[in-house]
Amino acid sequence: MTNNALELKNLNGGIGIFSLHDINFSIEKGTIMGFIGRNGSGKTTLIKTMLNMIPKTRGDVLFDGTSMYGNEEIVKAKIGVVFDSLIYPLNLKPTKIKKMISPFYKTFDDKRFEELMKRFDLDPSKKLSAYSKGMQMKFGVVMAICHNPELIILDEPTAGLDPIARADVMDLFLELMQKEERSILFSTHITSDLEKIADYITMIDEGKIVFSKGKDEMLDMYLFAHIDREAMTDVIKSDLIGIKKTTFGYEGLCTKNLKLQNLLGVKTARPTIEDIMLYMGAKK
Amino acid sequence: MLKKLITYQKLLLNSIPPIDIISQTPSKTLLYVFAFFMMVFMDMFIFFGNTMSTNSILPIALPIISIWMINRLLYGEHRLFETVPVSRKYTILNIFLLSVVIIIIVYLLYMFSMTVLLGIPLGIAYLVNPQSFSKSPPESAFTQIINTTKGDLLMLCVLVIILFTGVAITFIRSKKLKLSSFAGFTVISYGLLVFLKLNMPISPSSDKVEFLESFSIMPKANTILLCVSFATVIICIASVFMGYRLYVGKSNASKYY
Repeated sequence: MTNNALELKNLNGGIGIFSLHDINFSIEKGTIMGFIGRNGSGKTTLIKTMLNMIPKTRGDVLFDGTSMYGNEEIVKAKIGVVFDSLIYPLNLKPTKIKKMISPFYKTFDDKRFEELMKRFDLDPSKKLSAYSKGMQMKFGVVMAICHNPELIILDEPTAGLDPIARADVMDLFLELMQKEERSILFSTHITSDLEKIADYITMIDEGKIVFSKGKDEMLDMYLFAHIDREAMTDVIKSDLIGIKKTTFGYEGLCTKNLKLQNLLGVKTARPTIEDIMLYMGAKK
Repeated sequence: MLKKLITYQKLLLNSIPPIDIISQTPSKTLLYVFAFFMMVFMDMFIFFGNTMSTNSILPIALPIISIWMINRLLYGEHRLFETVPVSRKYTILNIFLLSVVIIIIVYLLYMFSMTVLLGIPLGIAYLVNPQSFSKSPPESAFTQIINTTKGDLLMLCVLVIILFTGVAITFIRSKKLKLSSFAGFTVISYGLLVFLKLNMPISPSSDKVEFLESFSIMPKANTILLCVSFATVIICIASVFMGYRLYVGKSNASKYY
């Protein structure tokens, strides 16, 4: 028995001219992995490759120790996926979609479906085309979790939701995590969502993993540094990650062990995930 | 088992993305128009006689529509059918089955619309002036069926061959290779039909080569039909096998032709 809900081993693949290069990371059971990266960095491509919707060229994807390839029937029954836009036909009513999808899952919970529809104020008698974008996204979340998946993969699930709906969805995810050994891979641009719930953060850029670390470990490792123009030296410049020029000086990330905070004209603060994403992205 | 199969067929049908004519690029529209006119021209060339019927056109038009729909299904942006837990083997068999289901649906729609379009005016005309309709049919329906049975069977085989080969080709990853395969297959198919027509005897009813009737009275019709039937079975099995091999490593290029 493995302790990993998901494990990617040297995964390579791609679509058109875009390709993923040797992707390696894993998600421990019972944890939430935040998956960040700029637009076009490869988040959705990686998720689709993991789900075998885009062919891999090399490597393997293990769900609870079982490879997706050749075992789709077993593996997909244990996964719930929410894509960045609704995948269900808009001309159908939620009840009809449930009838169409539920026979494929032995563990599909009809009661839970009704409960969640009520909780999110979704009218099952209305067609999906009559739902707002936020309501459609909530319906996607409902459908993804009604079969009690062990791993939930979320591709920008809170995009397009208003703050109240977003908070509601986030609460639901936290609630889901109360069940032991349930794991979430949460791809998002809204990094403030991850500050609340993520245990680990993985960043992808140009189809390569930039880092995959524990959130607290990562936030403790770096400092957000502001350096006055007069205090800037070539040594500091070379130590900063993703340096940016501002009106008053320079800004960038630095590792804590550099002790830049002790220098005159240098102010440091604990970075946010957004800072890390921003400056790591600008690193190259 | 059967319930699951029906549900999956419904899921596949609902996974076909809606047709978006507006966002088609001019080159793609031109390609569609060119392909459509070529098909019409070739069908007229091969099947045109005094008694050109839908029996000869539909076996070519229906599988083409079905293949186009399957292509849209496989290369749609969101493939709902791929999110549910079923094996790839199950998916591939269902996609081939879906191609047949689409043909049945389109045929029923065609029959319904033709009944409405022709039936209503004829019905009104009959009610207004019943004397204008002859009481006896111009030709015995029984004789008509006997005359073209072999031709109809040949066209059924043609339909199945086009359908299964076409669906297998849609699984090819590379767009260029896929288009080349479609082009090659079209040239070979039409070439064989033209060759067959050139060797057909003149129909005694019209003094012209009528594809279905002429085939039915061909001296070697039985032998040809037997060979084509065998070929159909082999092509079907080979297409499903090839489709499976291609689908296991299928590309996700979301732009479809």
